[in-house]
Amino acid sequence: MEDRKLIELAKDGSQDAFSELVLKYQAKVFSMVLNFTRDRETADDLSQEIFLKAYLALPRFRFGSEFGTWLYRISLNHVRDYLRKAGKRKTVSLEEIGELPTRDESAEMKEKEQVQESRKKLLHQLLEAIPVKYRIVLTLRDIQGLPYDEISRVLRISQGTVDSRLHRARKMLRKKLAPYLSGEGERYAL
Amino acid sequence: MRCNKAETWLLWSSDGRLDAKRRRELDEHLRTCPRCALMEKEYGALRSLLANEGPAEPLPHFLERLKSRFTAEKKSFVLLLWERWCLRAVPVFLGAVLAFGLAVFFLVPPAQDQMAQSGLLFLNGQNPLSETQSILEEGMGEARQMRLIFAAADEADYRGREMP
Repeated sequence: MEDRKLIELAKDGSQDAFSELVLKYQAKVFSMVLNFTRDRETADDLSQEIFLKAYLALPRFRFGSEFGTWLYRISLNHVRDYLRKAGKRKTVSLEEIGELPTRDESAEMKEKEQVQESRKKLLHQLLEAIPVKYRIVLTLRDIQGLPYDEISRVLRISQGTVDSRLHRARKMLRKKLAPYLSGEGERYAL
Repeated sequence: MRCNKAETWLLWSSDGRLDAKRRRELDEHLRTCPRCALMEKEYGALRSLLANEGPAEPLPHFLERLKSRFTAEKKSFVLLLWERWCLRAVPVFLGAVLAFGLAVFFLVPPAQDQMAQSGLLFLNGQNPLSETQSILEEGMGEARQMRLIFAAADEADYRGREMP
């Protein structure tokens, strides 16, 4: 069933219709939140809160944009709030990357899994080191694969701004990644 | 070609936004500039790192857990509305009390103060000291002192005092 029909049914009080929307979008929302939180349980909890917010706000949805765009906007605002609160409690430095498991410590882990895990951790550490507004654009484009025009609609900024933020984000990330490419690249299979 | 431009084109290229002509120019530059060639390698590694982040599935029974939260949320939503109403009602109540107080202060005329007996005598054109004056004019000093003492005792309850 199309999103529009499902939304209309959900607005009329059909929980089944909203459940279908949840099933359709849960992986997208969860993946995006996970990119910011790094923790699966936190991401799961935030995703549930996002769907609750969406459910409560659904009567105000006037089909001014696609449902996915609207849901992404709710998700990003929720994640921004979370990061603002979490940022006050915790700051992550790049030095923490040194604490990743080494080959000796994780002898029981398969090599491939270990490398994958290390790469993920490295990426998250690098992402956390760049400002949120750049991280959001980079996540939406390079991880979530959203087109420029949709990112522009989700963030309510021009495509030119999306382009310049993405450009700066990639530059920042490359600079932070460069030492690992020259020195420790092998450890992360880069 | 300048290296800054090459970097921009590299990024456009990764988004598939670089036409064939510019791509050739860029390739030419990359062959001659080791710095930009290294940069291309680094961007390649970055892309590979980002591509590693595939879509993730939420924890099991996501929908079931969400449904149970909906039920709980509906109850707390009513409470939340009530809390919000109360939070708005408190300042409104205080504002109303303040407005009422100000209205009473400015609009209601003050009640007339009750005048003292001596004030009333003044208004009636009489001398309020006439009684004391007659005592002071008496000849005997001792009797005069006694009368002054009794007159002072009477002054405390001037309302009950007989008019001269």
